[in-house]
Amino acid sequence: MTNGVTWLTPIVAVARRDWAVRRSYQFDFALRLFGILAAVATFFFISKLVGSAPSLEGIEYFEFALVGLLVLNGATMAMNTLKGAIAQERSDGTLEMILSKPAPLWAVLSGTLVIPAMFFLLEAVVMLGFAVMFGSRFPIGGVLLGVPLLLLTLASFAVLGLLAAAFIVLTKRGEPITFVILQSTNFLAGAVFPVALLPIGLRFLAHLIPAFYGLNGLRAVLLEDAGAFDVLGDIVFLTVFTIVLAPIALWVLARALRVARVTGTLGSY
Amino acid sequence: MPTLPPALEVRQLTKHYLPPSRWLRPLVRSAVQERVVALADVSFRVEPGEVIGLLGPNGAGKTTLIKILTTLLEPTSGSATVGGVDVTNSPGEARRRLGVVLADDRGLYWRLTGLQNLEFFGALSGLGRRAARQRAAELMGRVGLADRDKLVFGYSTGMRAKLNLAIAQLAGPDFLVLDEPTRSLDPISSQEVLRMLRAFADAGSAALLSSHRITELIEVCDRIVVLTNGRARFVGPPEQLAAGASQQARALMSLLSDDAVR
Repeated sequence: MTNGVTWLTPIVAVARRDWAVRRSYQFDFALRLFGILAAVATFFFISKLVGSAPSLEGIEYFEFALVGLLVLNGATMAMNTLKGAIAQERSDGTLEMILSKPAPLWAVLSGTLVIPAMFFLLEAVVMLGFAVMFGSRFPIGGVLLGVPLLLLTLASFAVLGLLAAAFIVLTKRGEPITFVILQSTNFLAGAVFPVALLPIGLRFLAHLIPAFYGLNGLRAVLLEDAGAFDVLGDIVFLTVFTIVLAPIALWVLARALRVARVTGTLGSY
Repeated sequence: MPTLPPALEVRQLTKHYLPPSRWLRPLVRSAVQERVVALADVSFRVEPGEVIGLLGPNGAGKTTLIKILTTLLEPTSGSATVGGVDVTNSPGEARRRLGVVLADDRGLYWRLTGLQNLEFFGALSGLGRRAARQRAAELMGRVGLADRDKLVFGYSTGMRAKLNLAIAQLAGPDFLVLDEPTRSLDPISSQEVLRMLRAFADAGSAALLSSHRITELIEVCDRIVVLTNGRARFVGPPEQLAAGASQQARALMSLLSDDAVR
């Protein structure tokens, strides 16, 4: 590309488009804040029942579940954004317009993540703020270290979202695959209860889910004063998972689009 | 002096829609139950400066042809080149040379303004941010929307058609493909769109215009391709078709008059 046009140009254009559209729905964020407050408060009161169970190894359940909620929200956002982008563009009739332009689809899809990810980070800060209101304390260093960990977790789920997008291009329905992944994450990765409570066979499965490493790392830096070196293993797993799976997911998406171009089902829903 | 490639060359283009293979059937949702021949050995070419009309009854294969030209569909056999670039083998390069107006006005973002739509599609068409902004403002003026920049859901059908035509011209394409751009328009708006299209071709580019309306194709096109049942039955100047100069032309006019003339 020339004349100041780079691979970033379509990414920025999509982010600007999404920002303009989001601004036209002004109550959306306010309602989200209310939802976050309700979710945080719910876990605060559940923690009154649970307290600090032995399987939590000294961590208060409220803070344990808060990190779980944070990661689950991020995983849902990352997966649903890509899947939803394809579904929405197709039903709006804009998918074919986009695919008739020279910009690569991976750049357009990457752009769709920018604004939701920014809002998610803002919501994460708000969520931690609400937790502080309920009496929790988080080290500044841990919060700063938590940002890249959280972004890596989002990236790993965004890659899974690409696979869901490929699935939706073929089947016109993406719910089954996202439902299975998100519910498996909820159940197996230790979002709202410790993995140690699972039977041994299922504990092994937890290690295959990227959220497991995101949760481990975030809990360590936010709740146990761990440093970067302590969570290096989690960072490495999330990075390798994303780097290895991203080209595979892009290839699968390209194949799905090719099938849709041959069968003539690109714009149908 | 080297000769310029044709603006568009379609060679023996064929498209069969097939039911999904057995292993894809549980995955792919397709309405096709048996082989459908949508296009069969269609050939024609368009020179720079020409507007060619695509006429045919519903189900004739017009949209299939347009989707192949715009890289949204792969042909079963044959080829199509835009400015010498094969649309199947080099879709990215072909897209740089093409401007597209797809059927209906669903290809717009209704929660964005006209200018924002243009800037967005400009960036996707390979323009930098500043260039996209300048080009968007210029095209808004050219299609008569300069003082009407508001959210697209507040636009009339005619305004949306003009905006679509502006989007198609964003990156200065060599070739425009328009799928029934005047379908929902009143006669005055249709005339405006056709006048803009003619001006585009007169400036040295070329266009393919699909329409059900014989009268407007006769008015704006240099030549017309008539498709029925996926085959090109007539390729020639509109006056030849309108005058029924041959037995074939008379038969086609008779066929089209039932379904296509409005």
